[in-house]
Amino acid sequence: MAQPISNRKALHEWQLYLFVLPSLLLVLVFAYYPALSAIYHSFFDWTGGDFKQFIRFENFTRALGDKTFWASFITLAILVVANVVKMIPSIFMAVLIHRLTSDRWQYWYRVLLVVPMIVPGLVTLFIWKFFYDPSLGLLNATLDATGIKTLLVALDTNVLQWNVFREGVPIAWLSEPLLIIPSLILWGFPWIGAVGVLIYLAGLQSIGTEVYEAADLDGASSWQKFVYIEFPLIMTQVRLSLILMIIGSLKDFGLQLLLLGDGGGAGGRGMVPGLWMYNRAFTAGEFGYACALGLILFVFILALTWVNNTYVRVEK
Amino acid sequence: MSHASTTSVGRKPSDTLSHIIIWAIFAIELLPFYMMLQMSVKTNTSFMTNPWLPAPPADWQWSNFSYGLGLIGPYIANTVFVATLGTAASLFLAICAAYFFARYRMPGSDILFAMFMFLMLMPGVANIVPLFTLLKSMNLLNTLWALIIVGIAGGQVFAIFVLKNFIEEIPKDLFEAAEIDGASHFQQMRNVVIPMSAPIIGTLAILMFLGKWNDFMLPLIVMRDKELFTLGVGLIYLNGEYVKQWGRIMAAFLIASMPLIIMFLFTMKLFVRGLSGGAVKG
Amino acid sequence: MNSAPNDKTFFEKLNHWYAEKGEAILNTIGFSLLGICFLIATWRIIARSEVASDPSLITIRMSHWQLEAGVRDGLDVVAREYEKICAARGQKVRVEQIPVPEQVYANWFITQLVGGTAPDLVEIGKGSSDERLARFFQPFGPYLQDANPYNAGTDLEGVPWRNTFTDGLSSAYKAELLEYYQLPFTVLTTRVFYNKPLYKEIRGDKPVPKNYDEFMELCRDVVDYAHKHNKPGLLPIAGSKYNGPMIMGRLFGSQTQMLTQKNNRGLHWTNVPEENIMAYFRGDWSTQSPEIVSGLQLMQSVIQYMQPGFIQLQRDDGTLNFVQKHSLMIASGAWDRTSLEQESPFPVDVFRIPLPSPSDPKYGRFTMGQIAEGTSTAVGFGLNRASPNIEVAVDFYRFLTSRRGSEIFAQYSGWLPAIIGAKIPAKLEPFRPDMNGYPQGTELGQGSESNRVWDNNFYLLAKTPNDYQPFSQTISPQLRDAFFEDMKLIARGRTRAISRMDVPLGALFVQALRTNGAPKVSEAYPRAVPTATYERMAETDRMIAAMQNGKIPGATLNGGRLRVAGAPEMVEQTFKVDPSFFAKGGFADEQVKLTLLEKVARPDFGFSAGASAQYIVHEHKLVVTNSPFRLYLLAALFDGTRDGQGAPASTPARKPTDSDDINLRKLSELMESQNALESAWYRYRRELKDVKR
Repeated sequence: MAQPISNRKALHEWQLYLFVLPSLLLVLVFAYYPALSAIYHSFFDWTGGDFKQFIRFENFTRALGDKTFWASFITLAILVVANVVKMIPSIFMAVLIHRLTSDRWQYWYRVLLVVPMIVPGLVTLFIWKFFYDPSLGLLNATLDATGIKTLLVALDTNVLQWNVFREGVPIAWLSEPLLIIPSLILWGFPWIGAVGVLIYLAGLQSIGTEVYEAADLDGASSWQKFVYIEFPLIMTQVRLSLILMIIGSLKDFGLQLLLLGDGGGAGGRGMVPGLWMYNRAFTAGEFGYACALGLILFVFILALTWVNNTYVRVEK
Repeated sequence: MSHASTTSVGRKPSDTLSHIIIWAIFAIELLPFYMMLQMSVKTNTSFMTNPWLPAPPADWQWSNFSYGLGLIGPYIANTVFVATLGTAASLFLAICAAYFFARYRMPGSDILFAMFMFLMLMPGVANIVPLFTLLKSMNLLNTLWALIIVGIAGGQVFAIFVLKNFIEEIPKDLFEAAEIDGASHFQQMRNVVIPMSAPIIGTLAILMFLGKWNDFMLPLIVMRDKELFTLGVGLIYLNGEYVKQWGRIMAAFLIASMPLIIMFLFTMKLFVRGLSGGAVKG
Repeated sequence: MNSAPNDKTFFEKLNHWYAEKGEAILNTIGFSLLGICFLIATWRIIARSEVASDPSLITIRMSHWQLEAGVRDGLDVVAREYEKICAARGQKVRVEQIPVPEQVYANWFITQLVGGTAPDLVEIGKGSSDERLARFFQPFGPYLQDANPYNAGTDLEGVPWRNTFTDGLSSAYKAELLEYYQLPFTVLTTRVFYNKPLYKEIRGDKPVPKNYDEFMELCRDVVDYAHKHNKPGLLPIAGSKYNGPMIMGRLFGSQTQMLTQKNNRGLHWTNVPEENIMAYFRGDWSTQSPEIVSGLQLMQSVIQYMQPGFIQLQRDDGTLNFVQKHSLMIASGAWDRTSLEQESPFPVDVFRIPLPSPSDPKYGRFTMGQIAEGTSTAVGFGLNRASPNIEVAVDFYRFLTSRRGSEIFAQYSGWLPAIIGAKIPAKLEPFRPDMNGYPQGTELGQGSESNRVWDNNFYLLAKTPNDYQPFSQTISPQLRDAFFEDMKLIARGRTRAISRMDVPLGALFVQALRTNGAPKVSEAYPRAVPTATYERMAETDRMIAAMQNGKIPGATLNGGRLRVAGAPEMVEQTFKVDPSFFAKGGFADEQVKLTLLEKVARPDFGFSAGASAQYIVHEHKLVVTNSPFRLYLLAALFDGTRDGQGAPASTPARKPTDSDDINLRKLSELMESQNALESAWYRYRRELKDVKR
């Protein structure tokens, strides 16, 4: 895409560098310096103050044997896989809106998509917490009323043997280790990301009506249209969201911190690497160690992004 | 709802079903917005006895709003200043940089781009202490400039990443035509890049503005004087109370999002039309 | 376009108009609005920054996370009052509060201190460590011996500031740092709040429970009532992550009272995490010890009366449950009184958290009796060393903790005053701390890691309410590792905090030992140093004097090493020190000190360096001793108390009996003698200062 410029020509076009210079300077000073300082401090026993002790690779060797840290990667892996699946509703929603014949409705639905973005996250958090409340919450009330609870109890006693669904005992969604990950996954249902849908819609927009008409003539089913026409067109956008989602979920721990505290909740099942970093830095005051954990996490994110870039190819 | 299908040409029977599904999804998605609206005029008692339905208008507690306004009102000017300046500067710099990366492959641009991308991958929990000492040594503590500058720097990476992808999609002929007309780089940006990637610029602008609007950690740590706080700090105070006055909290939230809603009402067509990507066809 | 009006909905018309011409107008309006707002905002900001600051105005800022109803008002009223007093003196002072939400306080605290922008008075507790205290805070010690001038005209006139606090500042004393870094401005007591009308409906005029048995009876009554009146949602106790442990911690602590004393080989009467951990590693106790088992069972007996899964609920969820009448009781502190009374649509009353009495057949075995209140934790501000107005900040604190100031604060905040004789408002009477009783025992968590392990496994106690074994068996292997991690952190923190002062001090100690008739250590050290150093010098002087007088039985100088019969192994590590260090004679030389610190504060000491390590430089060697030894010496100085006879500290733990007088009265006597000694130090120090001038 980008126009290659040879070294010789670059001398003439040197002022092009000025376009990137301000961003670069800002990023170097305000983002790279703190980040490099974190890398530097990962070789120190450092509590965030001015006293530090050089300890070579001790933080890293300690991290290698840190059971909590490595266990948190399992939770993370499950959550990332779930997040990939949770991208589907947004794609579905985009296709659904796009296929509407009325342009007006398409427009108004786009408007409505933006509205939830304006609502502060704390409101959403409040509603979902209320949803999961064991004795007063909506989820348990629904399960009880619909009789799904009985089904779950039967499933538990006969198949799962988890001993988490019991007759007469409200389900403790966020204080039962085995239920923490499912609860975290269910969180945010139906998992519509407004930005995602809007970006997919932008991608879908380039399909002309004639393509659909041709497909209709061929007697293509909805599914076939999706697979052969729509999905290939939003592949760029899907890939973009996928990368951003993976990077985001590897670093993210806000939800776990708010819901389960910095210990990761019952059985430590909600512990993810980011949360463990936070715990070490701000609960235990081991900033140096937290920096080392961050560096290890960075390597993981780097590797995953590389895999993503290499294997999730876009055919243009 | 049926109007839509009756007026459209070549309607398909499945549209009605689609509408139902979409509305069902919106019902859940818009629930927080609805809750914020209806809770903002309730007292704690009326909220507890009747959490889901709106209270009769006679019982509306307008005092929630005066309380909320009293709490966060003084911070609105600061927030507008920081968010507007921050978003504008952030976008301008990001467009310049993305233009550089998307249009030309200068020597070293791969390395530079990788430098930006690496940053996106860095988890930054322990970074806050070095950042703070840095701001201190630059004498930026307790100034709004700290928020603006750190905000600009923080927004660059993501914006450049997204914008570069979009600018690369712009047909090359457009740039070439502009170059033949003797357009400078800035003119190309103004006449080609900005109109062609308006949708994503709009989305980025909303995201950046929202982020700066609600941010609380940085202002809380950087600011010492109350007069310099931004909205996010006011909201976190309200939310940090141990017995939560939900009505007041929601009213304050609503006040805080009001400027956004107004802004959005006026300019939504621009953003949404942009996002429909009509311009890309040219 | 021209179709009949009823063919078009309102939306369609709007849409149409919008598409035709509205959009451009609206966009223009939208962006101009933003532009106008921006201009107004900019103008306001510029206008504001032009307001010149008054150079004669002294601003004192204080930060805290007490966002409970009333507190900010109480502090505000006191601040305004103080400003008036200052104005009358012709001094322009403004006192400002910086309330910071609890969730972000630790972040805020650390960054502000490191950045040097912390306010003058900083509430201590979240994010603080011994190291940070020693590094960033000015101890209150030097001020405590003077009378509080704002008590003039009361019976506290002329009484040293320290002795005007209800607990004589025993809760504020930091034994590890030998200083007072935080003075309390309030006293915390916890109570069970209950819904008065509901109680009456359930139990009529029956009095509120006084002990554990009666409490259980009440809980059963509530369950019966809920069953009879078909109110399945009604529970005896509203629990949450925050409120649940208020009751359960107390219950557990009643069972470990004796164990904690047994674990404690130092002279602390409070609960000392590292002593518990070391006792755990010595094998003195485990999760299967009868005291622990009993504590767990006691907790389990209460858990079943709270909401299932309450551990996922937060503080505000628990409160909501109570004020919504879903439960009869909730446990919380006096600090929640104002909030709860404001929020509850019904009258609220309180009673003390009922604990098993020593005569209880099942749970009486391990308990000493009623737990003394108001002595365990201090809520208060620390003095920022970097503050440009330390003296004014201290003066404000004097006013806040004067009788008048604390009465004003109590009246407006609804929190308890911490000053002797301060009138407690009638509404606060039920919260009046009962200082009689015994110290509370330990809980399982001793630090961040063990607390996490405890939190992570707590659900197991709730899941099988009749069997503590799943919990014990799951937690045991994790607890060992967690204790180890905690101990490492504690040791590291102590090492750093104390070593700042110990290196020069230890060197002088040895110097004094070598040259007989040498000046006192504290005199040999003429430079101005952080105050705590002087205290430690004085302590050294006392040690030397005591040894020379033969006052420490069994203490000998053996081969250049100080040995005390029966004292725990004291020498852990020795380092070579460059002789030039002594030749220089300049122990105040920061550079030399830091070089030494680099050598000493090695993290690989782990906990083997002891809880609070002390360094003594001897014969060009740096000797590291651990804290039980130092405390042992201190103990020996208070002859007649506890192990003061030089008996080995490893003697079987004291089994307290009623005649043994192990209660807080005894403790306060002990504190008094320590206070007397301390005041001598301070006098001495002041004299020294005068000499220097």
